Amino acid sequence: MADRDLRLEAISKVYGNLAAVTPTSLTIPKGEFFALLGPSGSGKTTLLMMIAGFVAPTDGALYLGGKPITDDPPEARNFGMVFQGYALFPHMTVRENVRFPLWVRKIAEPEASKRIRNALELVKLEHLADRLPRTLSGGQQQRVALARALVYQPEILLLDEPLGALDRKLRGEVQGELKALHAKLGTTFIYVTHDQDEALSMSDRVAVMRNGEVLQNGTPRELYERPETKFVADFLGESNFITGEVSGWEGGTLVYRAGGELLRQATADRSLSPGQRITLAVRPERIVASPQRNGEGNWLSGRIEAWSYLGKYIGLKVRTDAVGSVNLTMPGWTSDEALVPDKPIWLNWDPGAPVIVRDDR
Amino acid sequence: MSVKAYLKDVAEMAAGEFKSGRLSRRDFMTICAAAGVSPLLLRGSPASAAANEVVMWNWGGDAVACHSDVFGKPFTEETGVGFAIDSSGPSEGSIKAMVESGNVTADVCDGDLFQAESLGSQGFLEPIDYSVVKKELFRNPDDAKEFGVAMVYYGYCLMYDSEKFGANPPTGWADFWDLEKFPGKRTLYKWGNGVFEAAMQADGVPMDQVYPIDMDRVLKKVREIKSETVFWGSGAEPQQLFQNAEVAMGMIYSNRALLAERDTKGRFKLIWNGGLSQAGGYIVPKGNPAGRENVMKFLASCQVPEKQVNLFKCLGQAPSNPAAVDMVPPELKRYNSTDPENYALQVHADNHWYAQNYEAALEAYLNEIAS
Amino acid sequence: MTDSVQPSPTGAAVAALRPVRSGAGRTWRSQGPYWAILSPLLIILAMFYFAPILEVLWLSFSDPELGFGNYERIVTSDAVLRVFGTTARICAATTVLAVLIGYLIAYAMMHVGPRHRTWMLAFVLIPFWISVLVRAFAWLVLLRTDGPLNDLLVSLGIVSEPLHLVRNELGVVIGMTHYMIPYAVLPILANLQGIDSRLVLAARGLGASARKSFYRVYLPLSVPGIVGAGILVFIFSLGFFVTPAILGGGKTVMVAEFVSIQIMQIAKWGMGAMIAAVLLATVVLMLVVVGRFINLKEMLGAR
Repeated sequence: MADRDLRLEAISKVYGNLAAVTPTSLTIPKGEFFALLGPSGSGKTTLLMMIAGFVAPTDGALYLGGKPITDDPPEARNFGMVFQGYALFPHMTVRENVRFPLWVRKIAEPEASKRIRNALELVKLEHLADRLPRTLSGGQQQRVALARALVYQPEILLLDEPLGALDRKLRGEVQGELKALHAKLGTTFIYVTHDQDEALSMSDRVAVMRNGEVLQNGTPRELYERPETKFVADFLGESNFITGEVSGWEGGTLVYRAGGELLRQATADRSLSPGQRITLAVRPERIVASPQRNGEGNWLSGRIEAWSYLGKYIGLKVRTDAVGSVNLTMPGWTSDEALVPDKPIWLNWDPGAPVIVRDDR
Repeated sequence: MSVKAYLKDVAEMAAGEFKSGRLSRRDFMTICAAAGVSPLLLRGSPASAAANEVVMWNWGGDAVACHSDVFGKPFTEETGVGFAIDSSGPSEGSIKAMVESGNVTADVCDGDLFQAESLGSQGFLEPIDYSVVKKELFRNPDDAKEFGVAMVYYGYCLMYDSEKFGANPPTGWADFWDLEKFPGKRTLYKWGNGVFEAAMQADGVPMDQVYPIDMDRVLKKVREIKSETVFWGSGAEPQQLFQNAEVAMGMIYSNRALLAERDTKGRFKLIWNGGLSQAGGYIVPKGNPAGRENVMKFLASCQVPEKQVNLFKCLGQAPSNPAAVDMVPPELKRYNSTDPENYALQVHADNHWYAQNYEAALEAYLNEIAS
Repeated sequence: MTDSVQPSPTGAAVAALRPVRSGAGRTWRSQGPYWAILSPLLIILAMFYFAPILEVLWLSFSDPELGFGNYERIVTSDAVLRVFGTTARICAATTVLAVLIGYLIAYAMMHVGPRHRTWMLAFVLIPFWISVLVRAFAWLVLLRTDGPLNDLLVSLGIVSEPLHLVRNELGVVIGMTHYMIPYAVLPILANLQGIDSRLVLAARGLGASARKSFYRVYLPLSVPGIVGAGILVFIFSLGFFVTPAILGGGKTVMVAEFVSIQIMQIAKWGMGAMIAAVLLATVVLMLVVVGRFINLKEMLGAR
């Protein structure tokens, strides 16, 4: 249903001298699970508040299904919202909380009760309907907030760090539940978080924000595998950064010099010319360690600096002569005998593994 | 500094806030209560009474300076006995409480003459020694009572707006009650004195026959005009009401009439007709600390005509000594309630009636105006 | 869905009981030093606070003669009944007005910037330093028939005759309301500051208009502040003396002035003491009754 897309057109918010959100344009298709990811102060919540209608944009416009909604007050937008800390009405029971948006919309009985029952069933809280919010656990409160935001079947559900107050194990569970709910309802979810794992695991698409600016916007796979900037590469997962100088082309492969070593990089960008400085990001899991060099490709020698055993894998830090310290991972079952401090070791990666990124730090 | 001294300080600070600073007899009581100070606490004032010092208990305000300058300083010069003032207000309740507690700290109280009878008969007062105080220096024989003397006189008199009623001015209380012929707001004394007598006259009783007061008749008359009447409790209030022409006619202490005429540039005029002339009593609490001899000497010194004239000039309170009455400057005679011309126009308070009936009458009157 | 943090009701109850138990288990001996430190204060309180109250109570039964004679007057005397009626009526009006205006001020303070809030708080607090006498006279000057307000109203043709705004019950209510507004603002402000501002946003986000959000969410949550302010204002109002005496035109006699008249003017000490005792009992009773429904300590900011 492309005609119900949410479109942000050069929307911005300036407080005095501070640009909380620089002009940003995005299109969020109907039914998408869209995440706004960024550290605190990146402008993601301000952007969400502008979508919700609580904050008036300094400039730019919002369209829903091609119709401008920039000047509509929040109550006219028919969006659902789950606040950080849930913002449940403390003087109302769970049922009354969920009834509130129906009361506002003058939805009469028995329709109202039916919807409340359905919403509470959806979040599995029927048995707590007559309790006051303060008698519930954090997870239960979170689900009440969800039921309250969904009971009137909003077109778009806005979630502001909804899991921020939950402990780690519970977060994992609720993440799964939210994802399942999204699949079941087909409602557009716009989800603000500072947790990259959460954003990657749940979303169809993620916009990474920093200093009021959307740096990159794409599927989790695109963002992880093809980060465009050093910040994005570092904020989503871990990366090693290598800086080098272009020395030329070898067929379709770029050759560059880093710390006296000549390395090769697969790239489609033909604009790079000799002498130009480049930054490359390479994920730790794309680097392979071997006792000795065998064959062609990108090989660097180094010595083991430190390691840590993490069960699933072992994190290894290797000091190279050419590019300094490099982090990589080895399978968890690698024998301890291979891990001796100061032991010489060879590192190798595929020319297609790193990505050339813009240095924006 | 004792708690008592502190509380009294509070009361005195409050007193200073009155605009004119001229406090009437009742003003201080209001402020006392406003400051949360009970007269019980104030009775032991910093002016600690001693054998070689006469403590005068008055109502504060201008009276502090006037009593000191007119009576106190000359007395100390003449006799070597000191003089001090406790300005916390000798209400009847406070005098009783002081004597009953056995801790008497005042020698002479600026009270009402009828209290000489009401308090004296109950044994709260020292009898006056008429070998020291001169009976022949009083204008009326009744001024020299067994337990107190009338050193000064107050008047409760009528003032009216000459701009409104200049062509056909009111001539007495019957006109005061006539809201049709003399339309406009009125003001009357909240604590009853003078109003009882005025209401009786308005009800057709001749001036010399108002006693004994028939309270039923008084209350009926008050009921007739109370919705149009503001009741004042402190002497500054009618002065302000006149100054702002908020009322067309009203009752005022005679000692404030001069000020009220001056404030209104003569717009409000004083008439003595049917007003009440009531004696202020100097009374001595039983067992006064300075001793009977000292305080009697002091009372005698207050009879000196020059001093009484000076007090009149300072406070507006009328002299009781006929010689002093004659010495009042001609331009001020009009404001002196004991001037023969004015005195003849007024009702003369029946102190015996007041001693017997004032409390009950006041209660009924207050009840009427508040309902 | 499962939930690992299911609160156990019994567990919570036990946890809540624990400090109480250990407190009750403590012996007097172990608290000895605290009592020793407190004792001078307690003695001062007993001497200067409780003793006079007992004396007043005793007086109400013993003057002029031993018995319940004074208390009989509550039902037999029109004057006493009327004074209580007037007092209750004026205090109720003052409470409603002061709380209403106080709420508006506190609400405005919550919705302006911190700098404006500081200024507003200053303006709320400054009257604390102005004596009740000065304030009453100021109202008298401002509102009297030829005062600036009436002059303005008449000159603008809004009224043809000056309004009687003072020297009557209306004047008393105006003066008292003005005096009590700071006492209403502070508890309400404390309460409003405790309300999560996101709740109103949440209501808006759920589709409620600004008005509906206020009436259904913000206002119910500010009820404790309103009730607290109401109790405070009502109880304080009961003791007013100077304001009614000055602004009431001599005709509005409230309990405090009535007591003063009884004691100072007509020397009926027993009667005055009885009225004072009844006033005290009324206040205590009110606090007890309200305390059954509401946590007074929390409401009056004692926490």
